[in-house]
Amino acid sequence: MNGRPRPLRLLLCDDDPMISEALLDVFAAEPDLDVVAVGQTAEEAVSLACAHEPDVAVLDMRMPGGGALAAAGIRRRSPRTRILAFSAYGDPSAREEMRSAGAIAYLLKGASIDEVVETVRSVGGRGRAR
Amino acid sequence: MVITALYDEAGVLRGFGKVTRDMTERRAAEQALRESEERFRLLVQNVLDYAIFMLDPEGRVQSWNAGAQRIKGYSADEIIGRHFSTFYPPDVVAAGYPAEELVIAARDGRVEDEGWRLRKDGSRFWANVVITALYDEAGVLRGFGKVTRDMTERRHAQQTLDERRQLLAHLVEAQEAERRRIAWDIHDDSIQSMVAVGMRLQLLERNMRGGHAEAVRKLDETVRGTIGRLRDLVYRLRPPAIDRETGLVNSLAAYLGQVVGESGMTHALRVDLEHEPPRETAIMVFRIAQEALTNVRKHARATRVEISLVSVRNGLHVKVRDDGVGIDGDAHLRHDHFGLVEMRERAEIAGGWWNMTSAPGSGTEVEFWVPVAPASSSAVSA
Repeated sequence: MNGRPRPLRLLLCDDDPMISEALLDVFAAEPDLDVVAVGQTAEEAVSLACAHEPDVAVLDMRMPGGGALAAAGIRRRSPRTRILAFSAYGDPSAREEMRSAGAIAYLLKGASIDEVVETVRSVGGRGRAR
Repeated sequence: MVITALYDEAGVLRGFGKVTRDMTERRAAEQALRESEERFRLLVQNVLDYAIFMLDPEGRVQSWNAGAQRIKGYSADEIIGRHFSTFYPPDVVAAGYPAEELVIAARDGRVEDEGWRLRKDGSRFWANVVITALYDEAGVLRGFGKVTRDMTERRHAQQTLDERRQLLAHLVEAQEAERRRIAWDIHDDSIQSMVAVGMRLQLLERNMRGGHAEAVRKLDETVRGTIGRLRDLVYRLRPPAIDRETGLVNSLAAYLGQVVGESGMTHALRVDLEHEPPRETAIMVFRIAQEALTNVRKHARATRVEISLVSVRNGLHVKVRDDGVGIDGDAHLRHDHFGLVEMRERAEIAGGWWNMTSAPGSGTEVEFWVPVAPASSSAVSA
């Protein structure tokens, strides 16, 4: 066996602790995913991204300050971080707002945890890893 | 006929000169003129709906008619000779306004104005006033003609209409704000909780075996179904993006495409609008149509739905028609499963009407009309 690639480092930002905690438990079950920071606002998202330079930031859309603002800030201050929007809004305008702010994928809340995990991997460039 | 005595230089009467002209025509013309003037005088004198009177060049009242007496309360004896600024409120007189009106009328030929005027008893009425400068053939200003109409009733009616429209706008905005708040609550709270519960159920399922895992999977499916329904609800509750750029037609078309299109029904939108309705009317129409479409999608089992939007009689006539199974109106009106009461109430609040016709097997047609106020009613401003 080759040396395993280092785990993807994740930043989670959602103003609902129930969601963050559930996601933490979902990612904890995946050895190749490592949550390095958890925030609740757009402002925290940007400063945590600066501090940790995660591979992937999973951003809620309607946290205080807004997911779009967080995405744009992270794109500026931590350009290596790739952004996954995790939102309860299904309409095209919400997708477009996040996409134009710099999100490279948009996942609807309510997706299965397998889908969440796979999407995080593919956003982090580990599409077929494991 | 003129007869002239003719004397010679010595003073002796030499005869008579007689000049005879045929006056028949002239007398007839004078008679006709007198009759015409009399008719005209009677007309002006007896018109009740307009105060029609003359001012001398300085603005003193010179004539008075029945309409003037009715509207302003003075008899001719009381007012003739007095200055017409008597009819204006004191602040307006102090500002020199009546005199200015005469200057403008003399310069431009006429001046028109709307504003408060005083009756004899001190009460005010809203007047439309036209002052016309009267010049004679030599170009000398002989005075002014003044025609005044009492617009109080009309102004009141217009204000009532404006107030009604404002009230409707406030009501619509309040309703939309309330719906937006509920949508956010559902989004921020109910949906998030369900999403967290769903993720935890899936984690749980991974660690279970056999029948228990199956039971948890079914539980998770139920949760996901609920999330989907809540998401639909949020989408329906959120205010439609109706503004100047988007407009009612685009919003309806987008909604048809997204919500009805997803269900697999074919759909058509027929539009014949004179102009974009005001925002409150547009939202009202959108909400009623949306409710009707929700019924079609959930209950009609239709293959096709058509909306028509037509300007009719100062309003908007809308039809939402499907080819579905139809509903037994009486049974459902009692329970209002279908938001029928809400649709009707919305239309009636807007001052319109609403109707639904349906029979089992022959589809359903929801039809309503709401008035569209003219874009602006700035005609009566002081």
